[in-house]
Amino acid sequence: MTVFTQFWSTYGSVVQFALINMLLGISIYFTLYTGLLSLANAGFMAVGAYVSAILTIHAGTPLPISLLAGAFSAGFIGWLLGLPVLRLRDVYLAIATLGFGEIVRITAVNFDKFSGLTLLGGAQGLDGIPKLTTPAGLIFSLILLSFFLIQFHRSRAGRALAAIRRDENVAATMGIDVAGYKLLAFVLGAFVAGLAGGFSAHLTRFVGPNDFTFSAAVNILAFAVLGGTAHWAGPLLGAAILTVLPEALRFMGEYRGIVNGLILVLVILYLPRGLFNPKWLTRRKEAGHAQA
Amino acid sequence: MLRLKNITRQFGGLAAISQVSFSVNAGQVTGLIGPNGAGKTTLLNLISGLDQPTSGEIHFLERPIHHLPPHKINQLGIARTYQNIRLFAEMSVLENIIVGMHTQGRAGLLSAALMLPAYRAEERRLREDAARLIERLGLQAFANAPADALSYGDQRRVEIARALATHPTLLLLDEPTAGMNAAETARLGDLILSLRAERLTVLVIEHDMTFIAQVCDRVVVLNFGEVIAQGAVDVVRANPLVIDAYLGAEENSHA
Repeated sequence: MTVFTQFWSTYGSVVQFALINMLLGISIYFTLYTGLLSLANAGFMAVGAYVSAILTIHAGTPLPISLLAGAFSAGFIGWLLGLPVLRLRDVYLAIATLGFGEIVRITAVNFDKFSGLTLLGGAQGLDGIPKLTTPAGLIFSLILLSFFLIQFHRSRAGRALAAIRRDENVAATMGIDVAGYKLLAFVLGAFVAGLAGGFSAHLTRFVGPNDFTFSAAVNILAFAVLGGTAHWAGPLLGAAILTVLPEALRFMGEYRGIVNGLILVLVILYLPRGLFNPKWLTRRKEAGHAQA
Repeated sequence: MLRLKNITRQFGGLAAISQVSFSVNAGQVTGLIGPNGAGKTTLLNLISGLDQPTSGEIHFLERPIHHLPPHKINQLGIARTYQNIRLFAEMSVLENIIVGMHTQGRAGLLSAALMLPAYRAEERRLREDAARLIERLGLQAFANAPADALSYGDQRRVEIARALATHPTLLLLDEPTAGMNAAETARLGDLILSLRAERLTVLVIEHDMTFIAQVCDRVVVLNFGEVIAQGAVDVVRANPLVIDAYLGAEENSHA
């Protein structure tokens, strides 16, 4: 027990960051699964973080309410943003969604100045948020969302998204409302990113406009690149590894950033489909059948 | 049933389709023939909504459809296949067909997530319908195989099954016999005739004249984006304009 307590006091926060990043992995999975290269997730995370933190601080709402409010706000903003930008594709969509991240950052910095309120804390950010995030809450959310994802894949909507990723035009001539389903995937991704933002704010006790910039957006994408998007478990694995890796490499001091990047490059070169191979699951299933 | 009026589609200065007018009658199989590059596939893209005409009107069941998005056109009852097979490659044959049944499902995200009985009943019904289609197209042996593992001819039949899964009243086929052997072609002809017997209307692009003669009630001949003849197969085949168009193409391909 003491071993565990000791481990937790040292690495507890790393584990919780890993769990939050796994939520972000789920959030980017929704868009990538539909074939949308969106980098708006960091911006949605910021929306969730600010909204939930403000509610907790000023209205004293319990954590689940703050989190849900943050997630729904992010989802709503995602809907507003998705209506125009989802007409774009590929790298153009990536650039437009990056622009959204900048809008969120600049809004956060200047909101108080222009509104005359003291709400977002400007460039200094918002601190003194109560530390309400618990590992149990995070694990519960992850399990719930994973279960939702498994069911989602088997659903009509899940099949529609898979069809859109493979061939948009064919999907459309099968009666699938391509624009509508892309928006659905985008909003679901925004919702989950907003939830992750809320958890993060109540873990670090701080939200600042510079936590959600370009590099944060690219980090989230890296979860999916490392883990792969052929299966929903891919981005989760990628998020866990990319959170723990810098800690594991801490003994290398200043070189760990280089090694971290090197590992990512090697994976892209030699495992372009990511670390997680969905065949692991099917092969096991086939082996099970053979034994039966 | 389907009526095209003065359809023109211009790509830059080139008119791929110019002033095309013809009708597809309900319950008939209409053939769309013509040399390569005559604009047949462009026309199919216009009807299915993947492309919009520069000018002209398309009416389906007395409704204008030339400005509708493709999914709305499909929901009105038009389904299609593709000349260069476009199956969802990594999905199984069964899954491909179930995607085609999208519009027959109602279950929302929530009922799927909670595995409500309504959702499960619907999934069961879709699978049963898909299994029936697979049987009808003679694809039982490959139901769970990935679509891209099948032979060319079998993939074409999966595409037809997937199009039929959307419950169309008008089926557009783009060179369905390409890559099929003679026996497969004859069997496909029988299938189309049995679909016609069930009052399905078909518009089919084809090069195989034996197949055209077997299944078509009428043919429309396209050359350089214009209709040069239409009518019964025998009459059109004797038309000097049609013979010219085809012999010209023959000469070029041997040159």
